Amino acid sequence: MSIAKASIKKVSWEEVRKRISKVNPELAQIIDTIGPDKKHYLYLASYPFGAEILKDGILHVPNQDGNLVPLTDAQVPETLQRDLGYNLNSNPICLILKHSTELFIKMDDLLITHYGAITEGRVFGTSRILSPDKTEQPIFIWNMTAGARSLFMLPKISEKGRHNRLARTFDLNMEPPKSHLDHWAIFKELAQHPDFGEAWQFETVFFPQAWVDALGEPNWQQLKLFLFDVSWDNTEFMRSQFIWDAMISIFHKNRNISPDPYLSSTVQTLLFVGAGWNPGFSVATDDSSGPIKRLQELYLDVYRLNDYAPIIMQPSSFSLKVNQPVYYSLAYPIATKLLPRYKTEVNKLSDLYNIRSLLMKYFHDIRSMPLNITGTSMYELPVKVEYEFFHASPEGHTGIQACSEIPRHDPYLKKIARGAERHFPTNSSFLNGCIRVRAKP
Amino acid sequence: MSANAGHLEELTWKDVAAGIKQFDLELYEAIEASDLPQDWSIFKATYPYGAHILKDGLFYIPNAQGELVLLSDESIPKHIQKKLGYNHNSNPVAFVWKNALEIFLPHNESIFTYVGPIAEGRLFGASLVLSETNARRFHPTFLWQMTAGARSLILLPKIGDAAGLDRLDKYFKINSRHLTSEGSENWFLFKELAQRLDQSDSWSMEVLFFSKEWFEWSDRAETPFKSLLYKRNWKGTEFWRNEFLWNMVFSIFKEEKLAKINPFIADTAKYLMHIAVGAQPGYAPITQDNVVGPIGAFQKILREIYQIEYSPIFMLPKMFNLNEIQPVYYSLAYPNSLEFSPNNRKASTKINDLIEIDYFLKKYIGFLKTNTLKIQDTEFFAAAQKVKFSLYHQKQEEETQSVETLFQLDNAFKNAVFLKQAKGWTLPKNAHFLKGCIKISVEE
Repeated sequence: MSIAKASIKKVSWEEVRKRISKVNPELAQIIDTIGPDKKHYLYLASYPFGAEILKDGILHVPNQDGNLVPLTDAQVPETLQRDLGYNLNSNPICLILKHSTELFIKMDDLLITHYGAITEGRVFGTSRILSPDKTEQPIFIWNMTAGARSLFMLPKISEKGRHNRLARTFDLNMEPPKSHLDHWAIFKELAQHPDFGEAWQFETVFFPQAWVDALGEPNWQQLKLFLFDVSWDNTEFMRSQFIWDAMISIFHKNRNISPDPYLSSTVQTLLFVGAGWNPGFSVATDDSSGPIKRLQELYLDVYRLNDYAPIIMQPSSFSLKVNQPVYYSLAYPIATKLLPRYKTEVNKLSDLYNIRSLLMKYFHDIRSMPLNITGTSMYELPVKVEYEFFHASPEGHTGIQACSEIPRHDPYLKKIARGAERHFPTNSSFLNGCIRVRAKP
Repeated sequence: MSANAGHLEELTWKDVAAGIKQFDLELYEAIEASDLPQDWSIFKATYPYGAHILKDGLFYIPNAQGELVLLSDESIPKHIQKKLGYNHNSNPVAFVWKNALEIFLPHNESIFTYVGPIAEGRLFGASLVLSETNARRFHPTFLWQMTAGARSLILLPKIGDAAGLDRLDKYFKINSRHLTSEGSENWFLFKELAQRLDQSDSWSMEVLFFSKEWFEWSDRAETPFKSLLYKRNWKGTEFWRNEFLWNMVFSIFKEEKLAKINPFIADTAKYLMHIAVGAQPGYAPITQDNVVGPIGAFQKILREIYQIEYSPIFMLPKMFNLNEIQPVYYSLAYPNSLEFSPNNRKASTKINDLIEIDYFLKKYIGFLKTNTLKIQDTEFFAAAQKVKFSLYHQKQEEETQSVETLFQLDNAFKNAVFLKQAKGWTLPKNAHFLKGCIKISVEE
């Protein structure tokens, strides 16, 4: 089996319209109406799992050998640089055709993620081109990977002997992972090995400069409106976040409390997870965020996970419509902002208890204070979304359940390949001090 | 009908088109190009100074008697309630037709003003109508308030003279001591005075409200109008959409450079940078009479009846612009942020706070200039190169300048009094506002 390589090629609208129509019919219909001519070509790019599409804010594209180089590199043809460099050499407007990607900043032991996994059919990268005059959006030090960066295996995979067996088989020059954040690098190495057994690819369409220029023309106005619609929807939360921050401070003032900033920020993040803005983690049951099934097979057959189900967790936004539970762990905070750090010793169980207690206070105030917030996702939270708290030894703490209770209300755990005959990894450090968000029954 | 009564009139596009064209050609052209039905309603509402147009997020409108009532009030005809009852019963999409209004949020005993006064010729309130089809709704109507004229007026000299207040009480039959407060929160007094002005001085503002049918998007013909609303709102929310990123930049800076910084100092410095990039307002003297309120008439009352000793200079929230020379001011006595940490440092003085804020700001600007986080081509990066912060306090230290210098360097203070006999007045150098004040200007 050959190695999955990245590629990029020019395509006409006709060549990709069927595929775009499948993942985003509204966009396809609008472009069909415009009927772009030959000079309005597109780029179809393909990246293997783990490929870094954006590195410190700079777009990386495949060279002739399929290796990724910065867009600004001398190996990249000038036409391609001109076509895709309009967002200050960061990502151009993209439409995801196959699988998903994740946009994030990595800081020491923390991954700050934007949106979580960005999935098939999503259009992004429009912000700067819709703000031609003055912008507050920096290129920043964003990174973006093909597939999810925050993937990790729920059961422990750091046992040296077993890891070495995997390393020997796939010629990995890597130590066993020390934290969940380290899992991705191993998954990436495995997926890019010639013997991995599967060529997982992320595919996206890049819109060149000519499309951006055309947005000023009369017959392209529907497309411009579409981009505004999408961007307005995508930024709904960001535009109103300052109001929610103010609301939290009204709660504190009303109750005359000053909670620990770490606890308060965590509860705020949990509210945003429940409202579907901040991502949490969910059980991966398909290959959209990476070659999940093949990785599970390898961890069962080569690594030889004991008796545990090979559950891989992926970044995921909660939605009442889909109703797949998502998890937030104090051991692996996935946030859109830097949380204040603890200066003192941590007691996870008492934190969990205090977080629950503060959340209940916020819930009470959301529903009872005259804040004029009816009709918003946040107002619906207390009645529609269930928050459950789990710890390895919850004795003596009301409202906190044992981790062994988790499988009872997550039907997605039953969908794990070859998971039925195996145990749930109750002792996972991720689960010890985690909060599950799901729709109320 | 009294000059203090409101008024409501139902119009259509042809009645206002020429006026809108004068104010805002782009909006006029977008509506004309959209080929919309000519009979869609636009309401012109008149409000006296200080009237609440929005109270706790609920929309108030003049009834046939000129009284301001909730839109849902039974004195408002059903067809008007139907036409204006969108936007979750908050204000409809609006165009300021004459003078100005202000949107704000009372917060922690102060006023958080959104963008300062919104003057004639400005369109606003379209955020929710553009979000109707959004998958998730996060934006609440919340507790926003909106008043006719400026709400965040600050009169620099203090009004506390007992004899002067007695004279006001006697002349206007008011209880001025109930209408003034310890700081310079005198809006309640001015609202009361505005209702007692002579006909020749009376002040009102006018606003156009677009009816619901304008936003029941259904036809592609609407594209130019909708696109323009998006364009304006996209531009108007540029900072808020990216605020989380700048908070992150600020957190990274704090973690890297200064682990132990007083939260009050850090929050103030962060807010000052927001003023510098034109995202949030500072304050500047009012130099134009009758736009945000009957300022000249207020000054006349203060001069002739209250017999004020100092120049009655009014300050008003104003957005700073890096490309203009007009500076704006920030006073430690008037925080305008939703997220300020309280200043718990009992031993601290305003002058020490100023010096610490300045030190911290310089470090932050130095960090932004390094561009390690790739922030080039943003207003923050531009501001880091061009903006200058100057410290003022009545008590002069090495790092601060005198209040007299502040008055001398900015002509706006000289142009802020609209009375002919203004000459010879004493400048209010002991004003509470100036006790710990930072000027934001462009580096020369």
